[in-house]
Amino acid sequence: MTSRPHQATEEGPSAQVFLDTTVQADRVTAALPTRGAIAKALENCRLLTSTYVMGEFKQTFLHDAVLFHKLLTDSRTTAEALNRLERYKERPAKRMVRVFARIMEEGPEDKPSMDKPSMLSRLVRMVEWQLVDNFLFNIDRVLDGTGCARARVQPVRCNGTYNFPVRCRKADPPRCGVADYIAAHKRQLLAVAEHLVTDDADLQRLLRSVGSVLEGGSPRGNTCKSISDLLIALEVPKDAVLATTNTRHFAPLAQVLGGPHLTNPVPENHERPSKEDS
Amino acid sequence: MLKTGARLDDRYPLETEAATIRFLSECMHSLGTRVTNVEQLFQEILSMMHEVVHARGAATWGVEFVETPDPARAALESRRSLTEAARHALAKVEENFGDLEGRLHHFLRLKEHLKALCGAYPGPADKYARQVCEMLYDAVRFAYAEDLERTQIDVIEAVLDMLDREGMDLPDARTANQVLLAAGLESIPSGEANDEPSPPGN
Repeated sequence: MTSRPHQATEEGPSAQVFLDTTVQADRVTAALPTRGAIAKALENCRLLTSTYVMGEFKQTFLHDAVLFHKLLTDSRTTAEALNRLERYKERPAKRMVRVFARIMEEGPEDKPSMDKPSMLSRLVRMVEWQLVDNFLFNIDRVLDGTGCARARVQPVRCNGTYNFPVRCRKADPPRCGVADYIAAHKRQLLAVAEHLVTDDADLQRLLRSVGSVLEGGSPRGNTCKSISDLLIALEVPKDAVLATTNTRHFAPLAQVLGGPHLTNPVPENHERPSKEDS
Repeated sequence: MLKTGARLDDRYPLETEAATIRFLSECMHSLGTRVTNVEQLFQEILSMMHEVVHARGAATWGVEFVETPDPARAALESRRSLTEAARHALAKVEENFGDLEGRLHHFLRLKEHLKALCGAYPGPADKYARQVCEMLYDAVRFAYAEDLERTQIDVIEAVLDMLDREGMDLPDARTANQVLLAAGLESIPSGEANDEPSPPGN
């Protein structure tokens, strides 16, 4: 069950709202009216997010911007680079492809798209600071329970493009605090393992990963990814609500965990992308 | 822009100190107003000296001075002119705010000027000024004139004012981004499927 976030009034303190990856992605790349509606819904709220959410954001959106910068550097035209982009992704973030495509649409249909230097300049801006700045816009606090290593990685300029090793693999995991975080929340993991009953394929994968972790398996790499919604739900402070568009995953988890309360600041008529889409 | 501490006599030697003082006095006199902007005063003086030196050279020695193009100065002048044109178009948008068609007309002019202005920051030293200009251009080109709010006009003007400054750096660019975001002027377009197409730049 979701509700609108309770906004601050003169009589009471502002609500604390924790923004998950879906809402953060919408704040940066949704349709402009949707972004306006989200900003209005969250107006006067104290906004929280986490390094884990930032890690997911960077691994998707910032990674794609870096990748596109590389492709553009190596292509004759912006259109050529865009055509090559989707072939380079295991799971294409179609949203970013569309963002790049729209930046390139500089004039009416019969005019050529934006020239390569202009597009590169915009990508440099997005890669070096703007995507992360927009992610952090109006955020009051970034929680760091998991010490997610992906959030710490910054693109580093290297031979005319960027080096951005944001991937997290079990075989060669970066240093992070997710194992300690899981150990500190073992009771909640046990509750999920025992009480979550679901037909949802993603949640079933989550359950398998929780079982593996509880049996002593490594929580890194893909395991970490498959329990991401659980980790985020556990990060939400008791006095905060979780803003998400992904109620399909979070509502059953919140029910088993006894919280957090959910809220959806995205307008109801807003078309939701599939998980693969965002 | 004239740098503080520039020595006039490096570029425009006058014969004696007395001649220099007399010349400057004449310049001051001809300006005829109180000096409120020292930089402007020096630019006026330089411009007048330029003419005097040319005239004296032609009359006295029969030589013709050939202008050496200064790309940095040309870019600066181009930026100033385009910023002024953008400011003028913005003023017209505000003036015609109640008339949607008029607003649209001048908003399109504003987009044109900003697009041209983006190309007037060619050097690596202009990286952040160019980023600010591109953000402003993108923010207006992804916006519809009919959705524009009056408060956004003030914000666009504030960012244009920022562009008048020389030597913009990363904190300036980030500030401009925050100012634009706070006003709902987004420079990153929509990534939604089946979304309205972005309005063309011009």
